[in-house]
Amino acid sequence: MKCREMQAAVGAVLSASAGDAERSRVETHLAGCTRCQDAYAELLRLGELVPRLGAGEVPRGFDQRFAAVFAARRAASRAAARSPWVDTVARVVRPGVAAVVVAVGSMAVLCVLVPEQPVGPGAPDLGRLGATLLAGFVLAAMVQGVRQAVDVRILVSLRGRPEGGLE
Amino acid sequence: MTDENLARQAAEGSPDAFWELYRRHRTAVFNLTLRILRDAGLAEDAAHESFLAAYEHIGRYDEHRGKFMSWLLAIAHHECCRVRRRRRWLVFMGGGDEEGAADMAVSGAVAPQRGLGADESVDLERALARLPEKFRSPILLTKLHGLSVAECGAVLGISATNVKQRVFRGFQLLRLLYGSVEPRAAGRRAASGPAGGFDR
Repeated sequence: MKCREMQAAVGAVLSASAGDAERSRVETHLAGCTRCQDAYAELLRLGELVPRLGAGEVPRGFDQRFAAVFAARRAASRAAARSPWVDTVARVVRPGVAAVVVAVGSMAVLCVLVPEQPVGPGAPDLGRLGATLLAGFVLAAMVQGVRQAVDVRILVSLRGRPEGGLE
Repeated sequence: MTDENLARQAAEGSPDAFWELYRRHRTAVFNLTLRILRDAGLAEDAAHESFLAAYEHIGRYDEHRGKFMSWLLAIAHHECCRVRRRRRWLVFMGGGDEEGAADMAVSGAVAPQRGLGADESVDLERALARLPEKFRSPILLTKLHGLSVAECGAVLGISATNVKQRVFRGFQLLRLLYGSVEPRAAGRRAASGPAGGFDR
């Protein structure tokens, strides 16, 4: 058998996981190959040296630093795992508030750009137009928020809540 | 109590069980990350991240698929790969040194030896540190952490046969590197001669 074909079997011996069959294949090969015998002896010697490398102790303060990181991560995890109803309400209200801010800002810009409104029977009522726009904005934003919240709740019910570890 | 029992308790919500697992395995995890990353600071961060990931996902640990230790070392190895990728990217962007001047034998994190001379131990650590990662990890996992080739394969995501091949090639390379550490090993190199065998 070729020397090269012994590599995996020698690897198994070196990693202390060789079965009887692999071990005997290696021994049979070595019996007729002096070149491999020398290499094998050296590899075995190295294989005995490596496990003697001791375990380095963890640095000073390792546990305290881990405890700090652990506590911080747990606090973040708790915050993320707050009541789903709080999230739902926030998802609905937040876009509504944002829409109000955008609409009021737009109205203010409009008032600055068009300070004098034309008066008369055919003139557009900018106040009513603005109020309609504002209501439309708020409604659209809140509908979007409700849709998002419903989607999230469906996903959560399908997948289960994200794992909170040992909470 | 076995690790697997503790992991089950931890998954059921016992922080004490998790801390016991942490106490049992922190040294092994730190040693693996240190020998892969060769930088004490990065190794500590990687070990911490590994335990945090284990804590968050302990419910996914399945004792029928292997020992808790293998599962934990797989997480640590994965974390080390992530750190190394990030470090390579930083090097590419010109923001750091890939080796990080990271000779752990010099940086004070050298492991105490058991039955090895101090010089021999340092030389061996240096030779191990110079091994390419694909050969170093199988040697570390099987020889230092006592995993079987199947468990090691599961950790690294390769077959058991591949692990055996890598262990063999790793030791072949280690033989060359260990024999070429200057200047203390000059005698060893002369005695060992050029590496050969199992190559025809």
